[in-house]
Amino acid sequence: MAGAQFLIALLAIRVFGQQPPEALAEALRVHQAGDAKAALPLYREYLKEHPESVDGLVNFGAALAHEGLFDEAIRQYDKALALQPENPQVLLNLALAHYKTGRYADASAGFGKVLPRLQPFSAPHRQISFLLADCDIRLGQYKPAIELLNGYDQKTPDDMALAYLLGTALLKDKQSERGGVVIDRILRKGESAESRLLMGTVKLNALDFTGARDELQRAAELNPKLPEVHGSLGLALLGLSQNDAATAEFRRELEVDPNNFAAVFQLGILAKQEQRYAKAREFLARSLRLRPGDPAVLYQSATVDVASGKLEEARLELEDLIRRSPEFTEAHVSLAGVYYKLKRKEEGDRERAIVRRLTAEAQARQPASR
Amino acid sequence: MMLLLLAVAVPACAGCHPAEAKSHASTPMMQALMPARDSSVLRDNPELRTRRGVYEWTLRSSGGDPVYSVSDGKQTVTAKLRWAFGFGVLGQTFVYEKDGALYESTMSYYAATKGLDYTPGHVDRPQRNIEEAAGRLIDPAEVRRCFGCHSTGSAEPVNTGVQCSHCHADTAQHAVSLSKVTKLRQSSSEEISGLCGACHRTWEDIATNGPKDINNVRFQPYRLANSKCYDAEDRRISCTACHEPHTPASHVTAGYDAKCLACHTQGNPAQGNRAQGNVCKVGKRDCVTCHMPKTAIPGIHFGFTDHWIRVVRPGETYPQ
Repeated sequence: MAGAQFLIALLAIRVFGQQPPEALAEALRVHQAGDAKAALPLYREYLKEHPESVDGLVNFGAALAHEGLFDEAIRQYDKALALQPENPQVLLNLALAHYKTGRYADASAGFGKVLPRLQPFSAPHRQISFLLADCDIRLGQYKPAIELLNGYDQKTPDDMALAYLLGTALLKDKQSERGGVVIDRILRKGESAESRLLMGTVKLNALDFTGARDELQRAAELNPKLPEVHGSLGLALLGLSQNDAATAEFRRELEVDPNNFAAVFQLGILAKQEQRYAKAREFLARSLRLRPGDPAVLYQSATVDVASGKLEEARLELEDLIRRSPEFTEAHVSLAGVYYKLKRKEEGDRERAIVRRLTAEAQARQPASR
Repeated sequence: MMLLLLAVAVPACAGCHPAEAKSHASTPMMQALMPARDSSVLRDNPELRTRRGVYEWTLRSSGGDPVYSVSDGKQTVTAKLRWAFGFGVLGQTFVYEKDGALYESTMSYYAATKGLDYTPGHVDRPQRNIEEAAGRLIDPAEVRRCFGCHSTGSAEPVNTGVQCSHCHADTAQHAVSLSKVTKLRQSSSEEISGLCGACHRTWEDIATNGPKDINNVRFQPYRLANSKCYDAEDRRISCTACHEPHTPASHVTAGYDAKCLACHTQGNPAQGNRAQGNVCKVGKRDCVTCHMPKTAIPGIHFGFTDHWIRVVRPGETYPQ
């Protein structure tokens, strides 16, 4: 999500209210001097002697995160959190590490715990609010993101980072009218990649793939590093049946933002269509990490198993998915096919009957069904 | 672009299967694709022309590759047509090449009107310049799908049309060693639907991806599987129960009555009638004229037989 680029990383070194022990003080001195790498062995040494030192764990985690060793940092934060479950610094650092590694559900939960402890509309509150909204947007939870940003919209309507995040959430939630008002605000500041991206999103929502492609290509010209541009352009190209060009755009998106859900997910589907099942599974597993439990991802994963002949695995996955999402028509469709292939005709017939019922109900809901 | 796979052409099979090879040669499937220069539609219509708004489309064939052109009065774009898709009973859609890529022509020929009209899917496509008015770029993946169904064994075809190995797996080995091939007549109706549906679209394809409107009347395996009398295991309701794939589909409606009456009769279950259908109270012949009504898709100028077999009520909503 492009809003993330406006945000400042908050990985903090914990500052002590009282003098830390000598060994830890030395690690902190090196760390604060900017050499996190050199601080790592000092923290390790200290934690050997003091494995339950929350201060040691949280600062060690911060140094690890600084060096890009997020998984190990998360382990240290988890240890610290087990010792002090409500420690706000640990909660924040852990949420940031989850955010950085694309674990948006965990990050969202963490930011959600930190936010109420901050002074409303203070600089840290704004940053955490935007990060939380960004997580929610990435998780497809647009309404909570909009609700969160509404307060800032009233307070600081000229904040372009806010306008961009809010506009994105509104458009993805198909609230075109209010989204248009926010886009107008951005357009008044002149042409920008952000405004073109939002216009492209509007056109994607309206299934105007040609118009969306043109807007998004212009956005990419203006700022090829703007997150979401190439992913959205890929979606427009998919709508125009330009699969190869779409694939190239999704790959470009991942160079900018390795955790872009749409790009990872669509690359999984495209790999499946090309019968590259191992690659498809890899992308879909990544998608599921970005949006845990997402029914669309679970469905695609099951269809990879169907396509590659793993019928029993597919059956179990689809049955489980249907238990969770009983109105998921496509899952019933695939499950019917699996049952027939497994020579379980009665169950196949039952699933087909469900599909016919769901399709007829959908047809009846259409305004001009006759 | 060229991706040659193992495919066995009809001549290789004709030596041992002359009757099937001869009759299959006359089927629309066998002539589902041809080089545009071989199109009888274009040969019989040396100049086709139509105008919509500011654009005028022209197709000229006077020997060699037919030429497709579009003009807005100021500029003209021309291209040689490479391929003609479709036998011509319904119509033909054309493909031309530009800068190494293939494009689908905006205009297709329709037999019913003996003229050009929009290719399905093109009527709402934006035409903001003359290039867009000419046609639609076909992505390589889509090229593979198009040629995959309209030819046999290649992305850009060597063997045009639906030839033996398209449906009969293992024919390459069989042609060499007379090894056994899968007997399709032993397949269940669902398996046959899957085979034919690979091109004519399966129930799963349409139920998942649509179209969920009148446009799906073209996709017979989907429509058939929605019929009340469809049984995934009963071969009496499979595609091949009614259609012998090696011969052109019959348009004599009474010819299909025996297929319906195989179930919808006062037969004796002990004599092999496993699934007894209701006996029609209205008529005893031309069953399909009432129960499989001809349905026209707007813009396609053709009445497709709806394979969703049912009692059609007056004024009913088209079942999706």
